[in-house]
This record gives sequence, structure tokens and C-alpha cells, in this order.
Amino acid sequence: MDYIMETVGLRKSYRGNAVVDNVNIHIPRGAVYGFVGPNGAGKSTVMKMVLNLIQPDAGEVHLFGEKVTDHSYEVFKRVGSIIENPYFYEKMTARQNLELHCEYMGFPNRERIDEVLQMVGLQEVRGKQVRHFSLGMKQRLAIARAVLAYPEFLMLDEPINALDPEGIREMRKLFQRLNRENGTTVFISSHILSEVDLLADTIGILRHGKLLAELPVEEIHKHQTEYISLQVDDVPRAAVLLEKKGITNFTAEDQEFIRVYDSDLPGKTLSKYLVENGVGLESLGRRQDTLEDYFFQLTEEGD
Amino acid sequence: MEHLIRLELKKFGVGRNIMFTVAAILFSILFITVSLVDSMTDPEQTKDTFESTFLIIGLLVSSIFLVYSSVLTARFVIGEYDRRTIILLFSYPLNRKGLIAGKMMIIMVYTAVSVMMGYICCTGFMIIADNYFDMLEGTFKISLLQTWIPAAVTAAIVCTILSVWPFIIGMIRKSVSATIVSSMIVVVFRQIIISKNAANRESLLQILLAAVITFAIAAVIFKKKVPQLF
Repeated sequence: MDYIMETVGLRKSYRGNAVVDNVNIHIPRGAVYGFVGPNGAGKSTVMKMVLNLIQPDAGEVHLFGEKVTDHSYEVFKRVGSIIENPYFYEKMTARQNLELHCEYMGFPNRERIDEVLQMVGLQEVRGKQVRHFSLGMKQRLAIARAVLAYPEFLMLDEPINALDPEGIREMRKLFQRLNRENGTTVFISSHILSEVDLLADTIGILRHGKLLAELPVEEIHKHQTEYISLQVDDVPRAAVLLEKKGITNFTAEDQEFIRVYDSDLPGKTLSKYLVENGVGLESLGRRQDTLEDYFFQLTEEGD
Repeated sequence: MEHLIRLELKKFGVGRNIMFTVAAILFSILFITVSLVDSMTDPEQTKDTFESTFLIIGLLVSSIFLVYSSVLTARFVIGEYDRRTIILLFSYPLNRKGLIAGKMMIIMVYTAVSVMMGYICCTGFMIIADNYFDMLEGTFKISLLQTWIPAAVTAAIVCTILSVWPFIIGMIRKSVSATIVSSMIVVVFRQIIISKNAANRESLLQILLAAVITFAIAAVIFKKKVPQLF
């Protein structure tokens, strides 16, 4: 397969603690790769190693089929990125920051600046100094900068942090459009699993510096089971009643919720049966496992 | 490298720094004028000589521009690490060490030019003022330039070399304040060294030694510290 970015046995330790441990990532050209994991899992460290901002203790990074070394500069012309936080020259205006970016990237098309500012909804404040921007505005500007020079590979470290729900939706649409229309490969890290689920077609799950899984989202969805979610006032009693009725494929999630995996059961019958036997039923609904469920299932196995 | 220097010059703010140079030279002229007027008007004091005034100009100009070069290093180089904009810079398709070297070259050239300009303007003012108001002991003779020119050239070269030290210390600590404080230590250290020389300036051997040590350590810093984000 044609991988736009690949890591081979990537390792990094700080003071004897492995923060990235034998990570092998494979990002196919044209993919939207969601890199998920809790805060501190090592996502940013991996991304920094991809850009050679920090050197791995062991392992290799291949970008566009080329091994990244201390002398790899030209390859970064094809990469747009946001790493850690949106950093800017705060006394410069939004437009000046983007002009400077064009200079450094050797990108001559200045008309593109207005285009990307429009894309992220910052056209009106292009002449404002960045130091007066909110964190959400800076995040939008960082996205504008990352996509400005038509990158083939877009690497975004938690790009939706600090964005409001509308902003998150707009940016998701933007990334999807860039991927669909320009063929841009997107490597996006986030700890917001629901958002990655909506955007990515391939998922890599990182925890404690280890890549627990890497698979297409379709694969996850294929294994996601449907279930009936019951919210009751007495879980032990409800469990006994379900067993009496011959329903054994269920789990008690916490002190309120029960998941019944026999989703063919008519909800009406189930609710009537529980209520008639003295269990208060707050809610009943049909659900499907999410990426979040898959993530927790995997990480619990890891523990 | 030319491309990198051109890029960095845009961020450097040439106009703003020329303004500072002019202001610093005017301050030095004012300082020297006050000192000369004081010795002229106070009957208990003797008038300053051209030689002693040259020394004051040298001390003032080198100290001001050496400390200012550290401010530039702090803002223009170490500040990139401090503000984390270095992550951005190092993500560009550019030679990272070349980028920092370009910044340092701008600062070194600025320091050399400013020290020279400071010497020329302050000395020129002093000669003109003496011509009109007889502020100094004796009269200006062209032969005085035989000591003035080597002193000015030496100061410009030495300040340029020494302006690398705040970069070295700042890079080791990745600290803006350490960068500026180190320049003050360098100024004091230089005064101690040259006060022991009869000509009140560094000898050729001392300049060469300072250059070799400074650039050797700077080379190590470039190799080890420049690529590190923190």
C-alpha cells in the first residue's frame, strides 16, 4: 500500500520513562487518520517526531516514502501542521502572520491568504493583532495557516480544542472538503472520540505510548453491536427479573444503566414487564456501540 | 543563507532598531556633553583631554550596544524558544541551524555597525563642540586619529564577537533573562581585561583568542542546543 506517512518502531523516553513505545503507524495516501488517546498518551510526541522536532531514541519516520533525517527540509513543503498549541507572532496581525508563513514556505500566491481567512471565518479580523484573539480564533487561524499552501499531508494536533460546537462542525466540514476535493491526507489527533468517529476513515489508538490498535473505522463499526439501554431505579432487582425471563445477555453498566444485547426484544414488552414487577423505568432506548465503547474496551483489555 | 537573512530581516524590524541606534547615540552625546560642561564650569576640576574623552566614548558606546545586542538576541532568537514559535519555524522547509545562524548574523552586523556609528557620531560631535566652545584640553590634531581609529575598530570587532556570548548562555538555559544578564557580565569582564592593557583596548592576540573560544563554543551550541526545542 502507498503510505504517505509511516513510522517504524518509534520510541522515545524521558528520564527513563517510555512516552512512545514501539509505535508503528501507517497512513495511506488520501486517508483521514484519527489518532486518538487520552491526554498524555504520547500523541503530540509522535507528531513532533514526524516533523523531526524531537529525535526518536529508536525507530524511523517515513514521509512521502522518504526517511526523515536531520537534513529533511524540502519534504516539509508538502506538509501543513499544527503542533501543541496555535503559536503566532502575537504583535503581528492575522494577515501578516499568514504572509510570513507564505515567505517561509516559499509559497507565492498571496490571494490564497484571503481565501483561507474566509474559509475559517476570520476575514473580518485579518487586520487585528493576534494577541487580541481568543483561543478559539487562534485555533481557526492556525488551521488557516496549516491549509494555506495546499499541503498534501495535513497534520493537526488537537485542532478542535477551544472551538465552539459550531466551529467544530465548520472545521470538520473543511477537513472533509480538503480531503475529498484536494486529496489531502489528514492526520488528526484528538481525545474527543465522537468527533474523530465522525471524521476519520482510519483510527490509531494510543495509550501509555503504545499503539493499541490501528484499523479502518468500518472495521470498528462492523463489530459494533446494537443493544437496548435501560435506565432503572433498582439495577439488582431489574437484573434478577431479566434473568427470570430468560434474558442473560446483558450487563449492568453502573447503578442506573443496564445494557441488554438481545436487541430483537420488543421494548414495549420489556418495559411493561419491569414496571409491573416494581422496577421504576426512567428510559429505554436502542443504541449502538460507539468508538468510545471500542476505545474503553481496548484500553480495559490493555490494563 | 541569503534568503534566510532576507526573511529574518523582515521580522527584525530594521527601522525600529535604527531608531534605537539614533536614540542611544543621542543619549551618549548628551552624557558626554554634561560631563564636559561640568568639568569646564567647575573651577576645581581640570578640563578633560581628547584621549580621556575617547575612552569614555568607547566605554559608553560598547556597553550600550553590547547590552542591546543581548536584548535583540533575547527577543529575536531565545524568545522564539521561549514563546514556542520555534515549533513553527522548525516546521518550515528550511535549514534550522541556518535559520538561527541568519538571525545571529543580523545581530552581529547590527552590533558592529552601531558601535562604529556610535564612535563616529560621538567623536565627531566632540571635535565640533570643542572647535566652537573649547571644551577640551588642547586642540584636535589629526594625529589623534592614530589612537582613535584602532580603538574604534577594535571595539567594533570585539563587541561583535562578544555579542555571541549572550546567545551561548541564553541557548544553554533557553532563558531570556539569562541572555540579558550574561551581556552585563560580559561588559564588566571586558572592562577588567582592557583596564590591564596600556592601550586600554584588547591586543590582537586577545581578540584572536576571544574569537576562537567564542566561535568554538558557539559551534558546539549550534550542534547540540539549537535543534532542541527546550
